[in-house]
Amino acid sequence: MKKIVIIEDDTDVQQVYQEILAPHKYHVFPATTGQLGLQLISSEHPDLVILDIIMSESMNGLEILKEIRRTETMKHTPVLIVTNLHSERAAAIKSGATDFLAKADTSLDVFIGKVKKLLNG
Amino acid sequence: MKIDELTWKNGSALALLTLFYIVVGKFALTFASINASASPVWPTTGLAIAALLILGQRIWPAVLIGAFFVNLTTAGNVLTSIVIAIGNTLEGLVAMWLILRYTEFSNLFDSPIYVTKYVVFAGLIATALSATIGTTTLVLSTLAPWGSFGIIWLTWWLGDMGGALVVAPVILLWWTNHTVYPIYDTRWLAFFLYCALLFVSGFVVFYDIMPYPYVAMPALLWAAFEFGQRETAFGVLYITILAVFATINGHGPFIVTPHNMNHSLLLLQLFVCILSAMKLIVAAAVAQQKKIKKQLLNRERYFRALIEKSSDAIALIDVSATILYASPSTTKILGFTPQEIIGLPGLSLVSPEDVKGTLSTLQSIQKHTGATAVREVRVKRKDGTIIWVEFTVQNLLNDPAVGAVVVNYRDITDRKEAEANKDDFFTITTHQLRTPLSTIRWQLESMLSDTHTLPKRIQVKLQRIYASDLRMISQVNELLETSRVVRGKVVYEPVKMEGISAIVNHIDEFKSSAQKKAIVLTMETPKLKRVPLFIDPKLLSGVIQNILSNAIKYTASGGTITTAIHKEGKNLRVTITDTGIGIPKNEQHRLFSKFFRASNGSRYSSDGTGLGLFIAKSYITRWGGTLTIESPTLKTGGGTNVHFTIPL
Repeated sequence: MKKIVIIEDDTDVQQVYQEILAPHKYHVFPATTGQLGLQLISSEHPDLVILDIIMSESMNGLEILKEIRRTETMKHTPVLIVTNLHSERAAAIKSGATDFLAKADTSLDVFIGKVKKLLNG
Repeated sequence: MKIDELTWKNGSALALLTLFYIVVGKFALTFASINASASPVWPTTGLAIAALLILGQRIWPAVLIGAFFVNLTTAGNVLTSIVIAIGNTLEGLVAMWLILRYTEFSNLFDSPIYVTKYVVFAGLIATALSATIGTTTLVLSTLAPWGSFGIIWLTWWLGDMGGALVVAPVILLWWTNHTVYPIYDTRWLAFFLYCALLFVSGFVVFYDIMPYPYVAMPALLWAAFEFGQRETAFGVLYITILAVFATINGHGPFIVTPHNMNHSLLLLQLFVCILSAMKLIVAAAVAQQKKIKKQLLNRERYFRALIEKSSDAIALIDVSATILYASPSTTKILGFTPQEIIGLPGLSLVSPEDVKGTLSTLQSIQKHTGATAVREVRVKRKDGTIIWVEFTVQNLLNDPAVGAVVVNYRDITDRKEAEANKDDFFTITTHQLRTPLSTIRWQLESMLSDTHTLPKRIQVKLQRIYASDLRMISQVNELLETSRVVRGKVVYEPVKMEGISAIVNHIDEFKSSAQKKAIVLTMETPKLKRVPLFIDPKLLSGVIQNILSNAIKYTASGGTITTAIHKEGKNLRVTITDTGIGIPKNEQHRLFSKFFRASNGSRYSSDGTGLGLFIAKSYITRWGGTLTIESPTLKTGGGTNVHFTIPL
């Protein structure tokens, strides 16, 4: 079963992710802070990381992303940025994101499709 | 300069002048040796000229009456006296007229040209007139022998000339400038030295110690430089008086052997005239130079103050961007003193990330003299902090007055901060608005994909909510984009791309939404297969999206939308025509304003912010194209034709 770590500080949104992805038989590991997320990644070795940019604590998504790409054990993990900060696409790719989705502009189908693609790729 | 009417009306002033004239005249005549009526220096000529210039030509009667009395009481009869008096009066008047006509009286002694004219008009011409009239009268009335005509004329002429060149300037200069130095002023010391020098050199020359007349000159020359016209003229007068006294009494360099007083006096007169003419001209040249220097100095001070007190800093750089000059405000903005950065390469102060952009800005103004450009960059202060600065550069390399590139710059850190805050505000607000909207979207999409478990009426309601949610998302996007357009923050990143396929793809994306509304969307097959464009794909897509979504929104079911792409000269033209509700002619000029929705449009569909065309127009303008919209009258069923161009 494929593992997905989702780093998102909003617990409601985490719930939504859980509900959306569970039917597809993915094991979802939620993390509400960057620190927790990094810990989860190093302990679970997920097949995909889904990451938001705005996080309420000091480390923002791009910094977390850079940290992932710096760490030997994590740097090859596919990272999908899903955020409502639509203007950050270029910055995200530059920081090492595998792909970027502007959340409000993305339909559920497209999101699922992207996740599948990244897990099978 | 004329005294006002009041003084003129005061007859006693006139009488006083007449009296003065007579006294001076009689006194001068005591030196007359050739002929009782001709003296070596005739001061009343100078008096008359000065009086006429100062008081105006109305006072000529004083000259006439005065001269008449002087002559009558010396020699000759009433007739000769009258004629000679007329000659003297005419002399004064002619001098006055010529001077007022051909010079500026207020500037007379400060301009070498005017002073030379004075010498010619007053010193040579007017005096010749008086000498001619006077000598002729004397000879005709047998008061003088014919044979002496020449010598009498010459003496008369030179005597009057002396009066004009020695006496008149002193009066005129004191009249125009009667400031006296304050008691404690150090200039008194120089003045006393001058007087001492005059006295000594005069004594030395005219009391036979060193009988070389030019020994008197250095003191006068020094006066011209140190003091000015007034003191120089005074010196000339002094030397003249001394010379006349000395010569009459048999002393001085003009005394010849064998003794011949006539000859001596002639030499004296020549000396006086030449000396005074020369000194007037030299002093005038010096005065003019001083005046020009002062003007230049004031001008320089004025502009220097403007530059140095300006709160914007100014710097001059050369072709290689080396700093040639930095104004004092540099310290306030950059922390460096001007001296510390002169000679440094200007780019060394620019933050590394902005160096490339700065260089390209500098290059952009290279070609044309006078070309300017503006840029915002980060610079490093002396203390290492980075600040935002907005600079304007102007290429004045080929301007002979400047010969450099002028850089004007100011600290805009505060402004940048405010902008960043605004940016942050918009970004965060948009993000906050989008978060719940995106949650709603996915939840609804999830529910709606599960059609079997939901009763139809619930499905319908969910569809409506979903449609509203999508609309809100699109409105939030439009609002953010509008704010960016208005603040000039649209990021434009053009890339080389193939135009036809991109445009066709964007149009294709709308096929399904057109189908849902039973609108036929057709694309005229473009005759061109591949067209290279240099454009930002995001903006292109945005424009097409906007136009097509409008077309679909405002066209009823069963309508058609046709699109076409043509090459038109140096542009690519894209046309989208619909059979929709059109736009009323009287509202078409407002189409591109923010929030404008045509009246028929708002009635037809409540959905719309009125921002789409505003954004589309600004994008199209950004890439250098044009946007035109034609709407035939509503009567013919309407329809709208939208064209936009892309430069190739």
